[in-house]
Amino acid sequence: MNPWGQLIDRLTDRLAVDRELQLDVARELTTHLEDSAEEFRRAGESEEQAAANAARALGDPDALADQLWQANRGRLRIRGILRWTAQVALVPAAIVVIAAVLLGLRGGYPVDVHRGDSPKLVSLWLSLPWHSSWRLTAEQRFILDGPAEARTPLERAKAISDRCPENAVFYGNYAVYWMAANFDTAGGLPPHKLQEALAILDHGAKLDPNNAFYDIFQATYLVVSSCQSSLDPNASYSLVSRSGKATTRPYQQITITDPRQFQEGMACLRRGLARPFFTNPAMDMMVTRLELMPQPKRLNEYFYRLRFHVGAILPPINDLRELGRALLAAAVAAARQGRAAEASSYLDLAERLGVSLGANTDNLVELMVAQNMRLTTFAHAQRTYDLLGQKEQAARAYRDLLAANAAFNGLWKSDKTQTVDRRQSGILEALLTPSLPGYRFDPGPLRSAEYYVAMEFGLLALLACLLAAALLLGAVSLLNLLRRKENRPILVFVGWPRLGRICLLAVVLPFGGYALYRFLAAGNHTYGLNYTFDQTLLELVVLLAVVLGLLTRLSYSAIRRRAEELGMTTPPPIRLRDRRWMAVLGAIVALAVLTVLCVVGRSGFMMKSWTVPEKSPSFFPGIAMSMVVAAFLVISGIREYFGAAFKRPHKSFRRTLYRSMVPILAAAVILTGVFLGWGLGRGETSAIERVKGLADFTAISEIDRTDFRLLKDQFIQRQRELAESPLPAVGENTK
Amino acid sequence: MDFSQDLVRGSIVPIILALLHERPMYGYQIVKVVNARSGGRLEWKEGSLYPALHSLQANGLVTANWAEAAEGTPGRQRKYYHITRKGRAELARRGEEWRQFSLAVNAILLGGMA
Repeated sequence: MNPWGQLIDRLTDRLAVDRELQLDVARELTTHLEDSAEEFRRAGESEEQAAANAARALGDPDALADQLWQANRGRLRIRGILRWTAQVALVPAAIVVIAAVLLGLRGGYPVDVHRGDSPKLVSLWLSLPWHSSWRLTAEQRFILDGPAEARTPLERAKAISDRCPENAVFYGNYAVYWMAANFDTAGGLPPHKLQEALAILDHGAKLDPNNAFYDIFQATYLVVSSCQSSLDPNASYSLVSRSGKATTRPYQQITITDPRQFQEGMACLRRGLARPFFTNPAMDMMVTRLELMPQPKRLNEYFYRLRFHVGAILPPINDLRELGRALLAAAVAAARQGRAAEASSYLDLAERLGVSLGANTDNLVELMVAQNMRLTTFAHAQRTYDLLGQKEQAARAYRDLLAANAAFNGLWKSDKTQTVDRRQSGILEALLTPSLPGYRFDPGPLRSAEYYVAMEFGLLALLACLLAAALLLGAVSLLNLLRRKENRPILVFVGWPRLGRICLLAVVLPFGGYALYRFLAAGNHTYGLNYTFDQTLLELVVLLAVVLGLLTRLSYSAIRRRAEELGMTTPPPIRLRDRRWMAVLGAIVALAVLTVLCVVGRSGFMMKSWTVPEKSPSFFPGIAMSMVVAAFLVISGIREYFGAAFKRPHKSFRRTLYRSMVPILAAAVILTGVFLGWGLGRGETSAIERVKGLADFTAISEIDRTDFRLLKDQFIQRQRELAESPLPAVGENTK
Repeated sequence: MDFSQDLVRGSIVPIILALLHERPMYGYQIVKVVNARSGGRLEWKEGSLYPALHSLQANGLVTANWAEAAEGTPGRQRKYYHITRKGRAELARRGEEWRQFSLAVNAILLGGMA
């Protein structure tokens, strides 16, 4: 029993506001008294005499108590602030850091692509302040999103156009949205909307007199509503598809119900074909909007931009095809009646229409429509000339048909179809890149960005685990503090050297080791995440388990040592030989992990629908192994820190351990989140900056990225040839 | 001969720093070394050492850590104090101050007596 208990209490009573410091000073004075008494005992004094003399040698207790308080007063104040910070500020700061990492990962792209079609929670998440106002003026936001009160895309397009009535692009965009909104899949434009459509298009032609779009769609509506075009059940032609099979296609036939309106349509078409270009205003609007939007810096922003422009609307192309078919059917009908010049004129207009669309478009869907119109035109030309008895021209049209079809099929058989190994492309590219001939892109930056994002998700999982542990232990400690008047848990500070050691061994070394592993390309990281998802997941789970395991184990040791220094009763240190079964189990798990990573992981596992389906396995050892590692971590953690080791007489230490772990875990979240979150964010930004416009490929540059640019070149060449010959005279005298 | 309390109090800090400059020590050890080296002439109140050590620690002149003592009962820990870089600078300043002060006092007191 300590014979100086009362004396020590008297000396340190004024330090009681800082329980750790009080215990520290008390233990120091006790060891001094023990040393002193031992010397008195060695000099021949009795136990009681030695204890009394040792106490006496210490000096006047009241004076010493006062001096101790005076000497430690400054430290008490500073430690009070630090303790308050550790107890009150660290956990909220950790939450802020996690939120910052999460928000960084989300990015801040100023586009509400989810308007109206997102769950409420997602909408709320997306409407956070910096999402909607980041780097854009109110005017730019208006052009991107329209007014908040607009409920439909048409209302948005109209509001934007109304604000700038002289802007041809904004008006053209509105016109396209009006046409799309009034397009009936069963019968195209309803007859009672015809005049309104003509007026809207007329105004567009005045605003943008060089664009054939308005005249051609006026022609479309006038022609389609003045005739009945249908498939001819008695005549068809045959074409070889790109799979090598012969397909039969019917010819078109027509009944013109309103010849005058039909001719008005022809006049509009002639007018349109004489204009310098034929572009889709909605695409122009999309380009305008993309130019307003800053280049993406995060993968999610890239994804937003992608999703934003994938939604670019096309005008009712089906109506345009109907116009082409009507022209071709009219040519056949004229030929049947022996009107050779008229028939030839209709064929000429139909070809010019398709060529104009194909030569001007940047959109693959429109190019495919133009190609289809081109083939149909050649087929109908053959029939028309056959009916007119012009065998030579019919044969030439047939040759043109076969040549155009063979050239198109040849594009698909290009040996450049598999330019990029799909395993290297990454998830997004594997999902989005169509199997187009000659498709070319550099998969490196996007693949790299996906790995950074995967690691950021891994970091978030680690931070979330640490924060959850801190909150759980914090709640237990708070309950203990509220319930107990005596023997309350103490918040101990393990000291900067120990903290530094924990930080180095539990955080810096594992992450550094993983970075080295990545740098040495020990994993399959030249392949995309679509190919290595399984392996990467396992790597990240193992990394997370190592960091969590080391952090808790080293923190436990540091707190135990500190508690020992303060004279608390502590459990024995955790030794491997006392935990043979867990050690054996851990070794088996580690061996299994290594086997999966080194042997199975190298063969690669592609996720279904992320790549070629026939290579997708149904079992993923990495995912299964990740679950085993996580289960082992949870079981060993519960066994060590909540189990039998802390039963009496170590209850008091357990409470101190839980309370003292909270600031260590929270500080680990802050340090790891700030440094790694920043580093990974920088890496992701750097990778996305190298992507350079890849996000914009789908709607506005996918032709240039594939061998279909050769097809477009053919249209451009043909357009030049046609420009040298005058337009046919059909509809010339009609207004 | 008993020294005046003011003299003793004023010399505690440079003496502690000088001893810690040699090697890390714990409180009781410091007391023993001072008593031994001064031939018992500097008899400190043992308790007065700790407020001085704590002040020095608060001012960053020394740091402390718990470690097992080389001598004495095995497994028994002592709080060892180490001098810091700032403490060494302070020791140099105090040493110079003491040298100048003692020269001046010697010149007056011893010179006057002579």
